[in-house]
Formats: sequence, structure tokens, C-alpha cells
Amino acid sequence: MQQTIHSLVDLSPDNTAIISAIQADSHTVSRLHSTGFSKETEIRVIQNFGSGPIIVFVRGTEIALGRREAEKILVVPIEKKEGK
Amino acid sequence: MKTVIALAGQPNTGKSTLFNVLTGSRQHVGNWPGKTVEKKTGFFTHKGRILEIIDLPGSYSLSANSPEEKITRDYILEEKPDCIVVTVDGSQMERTLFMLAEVCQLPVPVILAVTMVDIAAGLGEEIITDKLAEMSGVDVVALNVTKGYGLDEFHHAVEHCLAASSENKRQSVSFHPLARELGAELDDLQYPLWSSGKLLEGDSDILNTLSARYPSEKWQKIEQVFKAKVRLH
Repeated sequence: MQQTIHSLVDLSPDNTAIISAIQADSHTVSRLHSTGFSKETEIRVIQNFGSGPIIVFVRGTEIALGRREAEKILVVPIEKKEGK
Repeated sequence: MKTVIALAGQPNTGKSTLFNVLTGSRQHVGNWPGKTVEKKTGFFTHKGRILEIIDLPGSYSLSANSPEEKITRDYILEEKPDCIVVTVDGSQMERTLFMLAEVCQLPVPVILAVTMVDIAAGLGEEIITDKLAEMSGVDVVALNVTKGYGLDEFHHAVEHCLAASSENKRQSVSFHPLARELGAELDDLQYPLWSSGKLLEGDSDILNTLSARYPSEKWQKIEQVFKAKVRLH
């Protein structure tokens, strides 16, 4: 199965994905890690208007992220299969 | 000799509430994260012994990503409290446990205080303290501070922790194999495991401190270990 990597900002509300990488400076990575954004973590988009901050659900919490930070989070969307 | 207990944990996990109940103080507690921006000191007595307790600003990690986090990090690393109480929100365990992973890397007695267990119970979640203690290697207590639930256990854990700290220090633990390998190269430091973890993260403070500390030959060797193997992100 082909896995496509997207930036978090490309996902629409209700899309779920797994974080595959965070491409940012070490300071940003450290801050994101400590708030729960780490590799292999499942993440769901709550709100994304296409500009401005986006709201995601991660590790039991809704977190608003600036767009510039969200762009640096790379994710692999999880296909929702019906009947499963 | 005075005995100092430090409260550390992510913002809005109940540090100040616990502080107030223990000390009888009325420090303002807000229902929002990040209220405590400087450290506060109080005292309480247990079995005739006077203990000093420090309420530290909420911090997501020991990475000094903000001024309040720097207060917490500097305090823990430099003032060396006799015991660190890490608070985690029982209804948000997965996210708030990160701080424990950091503190575990320091050779300091640690108590994990799981707060807001009433809210967790409301969500149908049970906190199995024995299991958590077994997995993390630290003392664990479940608390609902405002109702007074778990305070006896908390006092007992403090006693146990302080007794243990005078005999033999808790072994520091790292969950990262590379940090353990690198830690062996840094064994002359006070906190080898924690420092190696920060090197792997690319923490600029630690990089600068260590590169200035070691003779260039030794530093090159250390750099080789972490640069060669790390695909950071």
C-alpha cells in the first residue's frame, strides 16, 4: 500500500493521521515533543480553515497550532475503511 | 539540615492546589495553565519534621523553551531538591506524563502524583498506581486534593522517598537506548543521562556548555557518537 506523506496543514477536519516526522529546528521540535507531538502519534484535525491556526486532537487534548508550526509536522493519513 | 521538596509538572496539573493544601497557604489557583510564573516557597510539618516545599512554574519539559520553563529547569538542576514530586493530570495521563520521563533521567528521588483522579473516574478511567510504580520505578500516589483523598499516601510516599534518598540514590533511568550509550561518555557529569538526552535533542544550552567543558579531543568523540547515529526528527 502506498503511503503518502502530507503536511498537517493539508488535512481537512475529521481527517486522522500518524505523525511521520517533524521538520523544524531543535527548539520547535523539543516544544512540540513535550506537548505530545511525537513520531508515530495519532492526530486528528478538528478545525482547519485553510489559513490561520489549526486545531488538532492529540493524546487526549485539543491543541491549537500556528500554521507555520503545523506545516512542519509531516503526517501519513489513515484511510478510514468502511465496515471496519 | 533543611529538606526540600519540589513540585514540578505540566501547566494546570494541580501543583498549586497541592501546595496550598500542604502548606495551608492561599496561593491563587487558576483553572488555566501557566498561572504560576515564579517559584513559591512554603513549609509543612510531617511527624515533627519541617519540610520546605517549592511550587515551580508549570513546565512541559526540562528544555527551557520559555522563561518559566527555565526557572523550573535551573531550579531542579542547580538547587538539587531532596525529592521531586511530578504532578500529572489523571484525566490527561498520556500527554502530561512527558515530564516524568525527563525527571526520571536525574538521580533524584521522585514521587509521581496523579491528580484529578475524580475527573479520570468520571471518564471511566481507573489509575492503577501499583502498575504505574512498577513501570516507572518511582513511588506513585493518586490524589484528589480538594477532597483530601490520597494525602496520607502522599505523606507516606514523601517519608519513604526521603528515607531512600539518604541511603542510596535512585538510579536514573532513560527510555532512549542512544541516550544510555552517550551517557556512558559523559559519566563525569552530574546528570549524564539527562545531559545525553538533551544532546540528542540538540539543546543549544547543553551543546554550548559541554563543548566548552571538554577538551576538543574528547568533545569530538562525543560529537561523533551523537551526530553519526542521530536522525533526529
